[in-house]
Amino acid sequence: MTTESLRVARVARVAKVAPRRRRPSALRSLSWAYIIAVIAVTAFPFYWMLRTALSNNYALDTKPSSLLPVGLTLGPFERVFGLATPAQAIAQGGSGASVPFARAFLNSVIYASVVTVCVVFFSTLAAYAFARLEWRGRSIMFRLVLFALMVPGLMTFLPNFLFIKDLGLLNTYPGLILPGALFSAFDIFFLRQFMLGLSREIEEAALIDGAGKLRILFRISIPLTSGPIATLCILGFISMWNDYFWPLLVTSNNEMAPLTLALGVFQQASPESMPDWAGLMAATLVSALPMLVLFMICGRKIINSIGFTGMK
Amino acid sequence: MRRKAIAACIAAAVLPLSAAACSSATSGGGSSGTGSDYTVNWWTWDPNQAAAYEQCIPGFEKAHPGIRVQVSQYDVNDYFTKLTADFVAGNAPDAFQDSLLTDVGELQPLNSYLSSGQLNQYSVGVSSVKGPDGQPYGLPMDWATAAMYYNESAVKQAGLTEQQIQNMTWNPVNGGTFEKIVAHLTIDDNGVRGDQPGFDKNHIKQYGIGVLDAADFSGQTSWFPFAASTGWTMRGPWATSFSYDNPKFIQTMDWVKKLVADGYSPSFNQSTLSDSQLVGSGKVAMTVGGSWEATTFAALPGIKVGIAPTVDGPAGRRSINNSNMNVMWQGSKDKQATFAWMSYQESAACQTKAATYNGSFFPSISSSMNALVSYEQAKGVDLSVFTQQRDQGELIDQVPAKNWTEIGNNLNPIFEAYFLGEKNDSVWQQADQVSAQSIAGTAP
Repeated sequence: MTTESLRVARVARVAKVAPRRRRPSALRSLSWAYIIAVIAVTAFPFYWMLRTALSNNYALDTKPSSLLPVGLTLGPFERVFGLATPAQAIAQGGSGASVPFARAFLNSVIYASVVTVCVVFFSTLAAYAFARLEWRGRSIMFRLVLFALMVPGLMTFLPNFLFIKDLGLLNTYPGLILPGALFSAFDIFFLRQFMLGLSREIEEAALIDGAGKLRILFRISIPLTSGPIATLCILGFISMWNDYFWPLLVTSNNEMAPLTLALGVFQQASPESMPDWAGLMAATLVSALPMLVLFMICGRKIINSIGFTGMK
Repeated sequence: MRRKAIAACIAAAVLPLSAAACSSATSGGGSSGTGSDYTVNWWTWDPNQAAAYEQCIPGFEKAHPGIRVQVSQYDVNDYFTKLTADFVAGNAPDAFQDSLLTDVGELQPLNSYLSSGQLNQYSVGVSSVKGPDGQPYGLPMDWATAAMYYNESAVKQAGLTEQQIQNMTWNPVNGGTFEKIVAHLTIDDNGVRGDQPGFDKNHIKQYGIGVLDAADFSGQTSWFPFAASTGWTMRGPWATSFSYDNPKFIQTMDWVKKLVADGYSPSFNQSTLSDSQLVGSGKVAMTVGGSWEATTFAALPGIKVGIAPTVDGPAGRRSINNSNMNVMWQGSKDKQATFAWMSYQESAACQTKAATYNGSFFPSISSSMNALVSYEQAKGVDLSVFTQQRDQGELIDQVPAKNWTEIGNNLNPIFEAYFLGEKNDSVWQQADQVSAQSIAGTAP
């Protein structure tokens, strides 16, 4: 090697070995201060919920703006899990009503997971049909799917309710699950767009090797679409976990109510009475906990998914 | 090969659904029965009352073999939505708690079920159960009214006696002894009281009286006790409009505005805290609060709160009574069984048992109310102020009107505009018209 190139190599090595540290500039400190401020503002409501959830309702009335829990107690969480006796609950400003936590939790898990699995599965099949199969009326059908995207969810509640009632499925698991599990225009549209972008070469190679359309779907297309499918699963689970209105309409007793409904007992008991604030905050935290856990496990994927879909 | 795959897919899709179906609960929010047993479904929005009335079920089922009772509770914000949905579905409960007969078209008139004189056992709320046709549609369940709650140590520090607070007079011209007391109870940041020289009305540490300028068209826990004590009435039962355009009412509202301007009462929406928080944290010395807050005030640690009657105005003392009623759905499959439960539930025995279980409501039967008063006395809560209101005829029943929610949506902004100073006295004529339109359902 020439001396010139040796010298260049040495400079490059030095530059790589001893990176120059930048002095913290005013702009950098300002950026950090801004980020910390935004985090504080965003996280403060959650801290406030935690603080209220660890307080005694009556003591809270004497110090409503205290930053620390007032009358520190685990009573609200006991009320949420159904572990407090009515007398204990009433003494702390609660209602004395019982929360069938275990059953409601089970109902939520069943409802959210079955709906998510079904809807994503059926949407995948539909998306594949729209993307890769040729059949008469395909484009008209797809336009109908797009049209369905424009219908606000609120308008479907009452027709679905009457339909489920006519089928005699009110207050049953199928009645709860079916409307959400069979059709999702967004999922179909989203998966179709992704499948259109998959390379045809692999599929054609499989076709030449004698694979049928279904085998191509299950062996090739779905594994390649695993990212968006996981996205839809996560987002779907979260939205079904938090669903309140449809279970409210369809279920009529505590046995079928999911967690969101069962914890409704902590909301304002009557137009005239004060809500059980501590119990309400504890209930909200507990019902949000599975979502927080899910977020911590699959957090990066969710962020990417939201960015990917452009929708929340 | 392909057909097998398709069959496998379909089976995989159907399997979880059938598994779920196998483990589903029994269907129907309406009544079902095993054999000859009929289950009466009863709904309420109050978890406290749900827990309380469940105490009566064993006694009822023993006395009425063949009838079972199931109590369900739904949050108040969704209660009426769920009721309407279930009216449509034909799935509504046999009987339920109602306020103001909101869905009177779906209710069963009770004339043919009531025994003669059965309604005479109730001391409050009987006029509230009459429908637009004058027939009774329900049984009075409970009642609730308003009174003055005051911080006893704040009163003592101001050099006032309990006697003075219990006997406050008022008139819309100069505010009577009430305004004097309130002025003396108000303390600014420098410790100067409201009736002393150098009082700074812009920096108040403790207000003499809580929120009176509420954007509430019925004003039960704010301005109503004052306005009604002049002899003014808002309306008659099932009236077609309210009567805000009345000199006595307008004079009262002007007085409220002046009280706020003088710095004795918080200005509109200045605070989002509730009555108990305002008194509990020392921001106000006295407040008009609901009878349902009595246990809350008594349970506040570190502060003793007394209860006093509302002000004695030119026409005496007045307060709104809110009664809820036990009503029957006209689509109930066994009305006799349902009425048997309702009668039992609103009998002295059950009302006493339920009210003294957790003190969650004031029963409408006198003897049960007296039992509740003793029960609360033992816990240090004095409810005699409320029973005196009932016995001395100071209660005005909150009689029903159509489209109650819509009335609130249309009228409350008018009150807000008035108290914010955006509108003057001429707005009350408009309020009357808006109320007429809202009741008729023709509001824009």
